[in-house]
Order: sequence, then C-alpha cells, then structure tokens
Amino acid sequence: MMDKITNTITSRAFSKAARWQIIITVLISVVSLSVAGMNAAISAIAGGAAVIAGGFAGMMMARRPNGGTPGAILFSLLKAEVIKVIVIAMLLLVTFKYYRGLVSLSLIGGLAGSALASGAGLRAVNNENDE
Amino acid sequence: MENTVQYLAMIQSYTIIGISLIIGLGAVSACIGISLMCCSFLNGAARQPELIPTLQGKVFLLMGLIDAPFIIGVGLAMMFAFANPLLAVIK
Repeated sequence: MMDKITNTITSRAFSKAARWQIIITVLISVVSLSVAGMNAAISAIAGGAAVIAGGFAGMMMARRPNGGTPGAILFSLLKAEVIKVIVIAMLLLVTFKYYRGLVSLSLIGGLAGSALASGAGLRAVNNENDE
Repeated sequence: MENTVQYLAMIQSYTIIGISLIIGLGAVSACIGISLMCCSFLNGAARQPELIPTLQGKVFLLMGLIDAPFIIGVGLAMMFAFANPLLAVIK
C-alpha cells in the first residue's frame, strides 16, 4: 500500500517536472532557431532531451519496490540518481561525439534550462500534501 | 609554427586543468548537498514515519535540483573537451 502511494507521488512529481522541462526546452529551442539556425535548435532539444531521459530512467529506478525502511528507500533513491547522471552523461557524450553540426552554447542552454526546471515538480508534491 | 604548437599545447593543458576543476568541485558540492539532504530525510523519517512517501517524492526532486549544477558542469566540461572554443584563437 505504502509503495503504491509513494510510486504515485513520485510519478506525479516527475510528470509535472517533465512538463515544465519540455516547455523550457522548446522555448530555448525556438530562441536558438531564430538566433542561430536549425542546428542550434536541434542542439538545444538534444540537451533538454538528455536531462528528461535521464530523469525518466531515474524515476523508473526509484519506483522499483524497496524494503520500505528509510535506509532502503534512501539507497534506492541514490541508485536512481546514479542511473540518472550516467544516462545524462552518456547521452551528452554521444551527442558531442557524433553530431557534426552541434552548436555547443545552445546545447548547454537547453541542458541548463531543463535541469533547473526540474524543481517545478515540487509544486505537485506540495499540492498532493494539501489534498 | 613552433609557437603555434606551443600555444596549442598550453591551451590544451590549461583546458584539462579547468575540466578537472569543473567536474571535481561540482561533484564535491553535489555530494555535500545530497548528504545533508539525506541526513534530514533520515531524521524526518525517524520522527514521523507516516510522512515517508511524501518525503521520498521531495527527496527525489531535490536530488535532481542539487545535481543540476553538476550536470551543467559536465555539459560544459564536454564542450571544452570535444569542441573547445578557445582553440579558435590558433586557427
């Protein structure tokens, strides 16, 4: 029962955060498109998508059933964070290595905007508390 | 020609030092932040076990927020490693 509630809260928090991350990434991409062209827009989307994919992988890891004790939950969350950082680093590495027309500043902009927008999910958790 | 090679070597060596500092200091600061938050989570979970599901969601999100500067740092470090803009001075 506890696991189900926890999974629901984690999923809602992630989906709320992901919504804001997508909005911010698209905004940065549109700005990059108007300033520096198509490659810059694709680079910004690649940066934002790396963070969103990493967050999704971490969320899937955090949702896995754990013992229910605080220590086990913490260990599971730390594992989720490690998976998230590894996925983001690998995706960035692949992008930098194989995308020839990369515009670095746009990618960093999309990455930073998306990473910082992940805090927006906190509102979902707070609303959950109010209910 | 020799000067160019010297400049190139100098820029690359300083860039490597910069990349190491970006990743190293970013990792240290993220570790300190996460350890403080985990300590608070364990404290809160011990005092009020019924709040564990809510706290877990918040910890998951805040971990991402604490890690954000480190992830941005990794992106910057990769930019300097794969597409160093400082090398444009030589070319």
